[in-house]
Amino acid sequence: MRKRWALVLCAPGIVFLILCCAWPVLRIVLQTVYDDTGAVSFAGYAALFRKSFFTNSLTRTLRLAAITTAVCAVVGVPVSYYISRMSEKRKSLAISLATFPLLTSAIVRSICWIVLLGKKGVINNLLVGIGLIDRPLSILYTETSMLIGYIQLFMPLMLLSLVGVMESIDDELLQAAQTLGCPPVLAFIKVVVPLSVSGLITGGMLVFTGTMTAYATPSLLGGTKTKVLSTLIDQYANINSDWVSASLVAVVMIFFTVLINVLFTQIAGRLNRRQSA
Amino acid sequence: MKKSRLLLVITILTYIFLVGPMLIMVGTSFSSTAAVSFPPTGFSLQWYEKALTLPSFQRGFVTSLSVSLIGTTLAMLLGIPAAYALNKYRFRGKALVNGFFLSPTLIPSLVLGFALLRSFIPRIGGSVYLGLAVGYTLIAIPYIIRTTGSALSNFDFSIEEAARSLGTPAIPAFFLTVIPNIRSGLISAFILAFINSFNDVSIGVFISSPGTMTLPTAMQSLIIGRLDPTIAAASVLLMLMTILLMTLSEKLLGIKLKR
Repeated sequence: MRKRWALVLCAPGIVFLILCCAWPVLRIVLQTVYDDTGAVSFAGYAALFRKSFFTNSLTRTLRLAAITTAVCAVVGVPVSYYISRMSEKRKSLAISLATFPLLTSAIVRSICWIVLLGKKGVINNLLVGIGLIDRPLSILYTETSMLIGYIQLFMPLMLLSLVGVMESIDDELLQAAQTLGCPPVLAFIKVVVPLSVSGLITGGMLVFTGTMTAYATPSLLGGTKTKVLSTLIDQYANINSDWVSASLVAVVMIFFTVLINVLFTQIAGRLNRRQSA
Repeated sequence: MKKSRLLLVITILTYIFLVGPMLIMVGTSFSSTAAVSFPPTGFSLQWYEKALTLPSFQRGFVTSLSVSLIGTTLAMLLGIPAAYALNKYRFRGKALVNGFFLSPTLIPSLVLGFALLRSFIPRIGGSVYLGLAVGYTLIAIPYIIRTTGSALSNFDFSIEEAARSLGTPAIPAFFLTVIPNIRSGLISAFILAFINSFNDVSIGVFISSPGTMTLPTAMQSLIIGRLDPTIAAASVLLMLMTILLMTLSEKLLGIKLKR
């Protein structure tokens, strides 16, 4: 009886997900491992991984995701610690200020950086205006501008993942370390950082996979020489009409998203076990 | 003392980095010249007028609004019963079903759009509009399952049992006991899922046609090649909408807290 109810209630959603998500995605995956004769073949992948254009994009994607995650973590720990020690009123303001960018379209946030960093943007106009430089700097459409965009895009996720964890850290631990002669910054690194690892992992996973799969930021702030996986799929499909290559890259992107998720979940699981042991 | 001042400086710099660019964009949107400059030269609302009257933005707004509403509503219709079953009943394969409902988060939404374009849209007669609605439903389902699940985890199912044992049929009992108790959770889930869909860029990258594209896609196609304050004005309008919905959701939740 209960079982039947559960089935009746879940069935519409399951059917919808199978028809509209699992099946279309599976078809894309399957198409990439069959050749024209219908035999299983990984020749497509072999050819893809021989193209330096693709491998460069892949390593660039992973490198930018790693740097973004690292910067968000290094900045996120002190900032979220500071937020967690604010008065209730200020804390809720700080959290809404961090949530607001998160609820603003990635496209709007990328446009902000075009306005700021462009050749005729605010920063260049200012620098040329005060005579500090003769010619506008080329910051936009480089890996630097992409990184700036990614960090602004995903920092809030890291902050929000960390604030809750920081709240449960006892300040006396930090004071104890300092009383025993540990310099403040070192005490912070040795006490607060290890205790906030669970938040760092949650936040890290969100930031890493988010950066890896973001589209608006690399397409607006990156250039033709700084392709990442998402902009590469777009180029293959929408510009070159090369659907086979686009599918291959799409599958690689799914693979790495799942891989990163599994990796971070594993680390989190291992840490939990160690802490409870 | 010294350390906390260092923390304060880092925090302020981080917030300037997060929010500052948006404020500067607000400033440039009021510029009276076509050059993007800050502080703005002069003051005019001409770019707002242009953003509001641009046909591609108007169509994009209507498309985004309707597909996001359809997608979020459909996700709630499919997700709430499932979240209810997953919280109330114990059955074999429950973890698997739960994982399956959350699985769309593992597929990058860009790829989801790509897969829908290749394998789904041709089967439904090539409707871009329907494809977008389905895409947003898929993005919203895991979110609805999670938020409804956490709202239900605070719900005492014995209230529903009481209604049932007093003779109320199952479906009215659900609407009279469960729904009112998780209402504020559902409302904020709806608003956040809607904001998320409305702002999404990735699904629209592949699912778009010249006549039917989402507002973010329309904005992106305008940026390519030129930059004038129109796009800044449109962005400010979108930010205003987000603020409005956020306050609305907080107000709705605030009412619940005071009770």
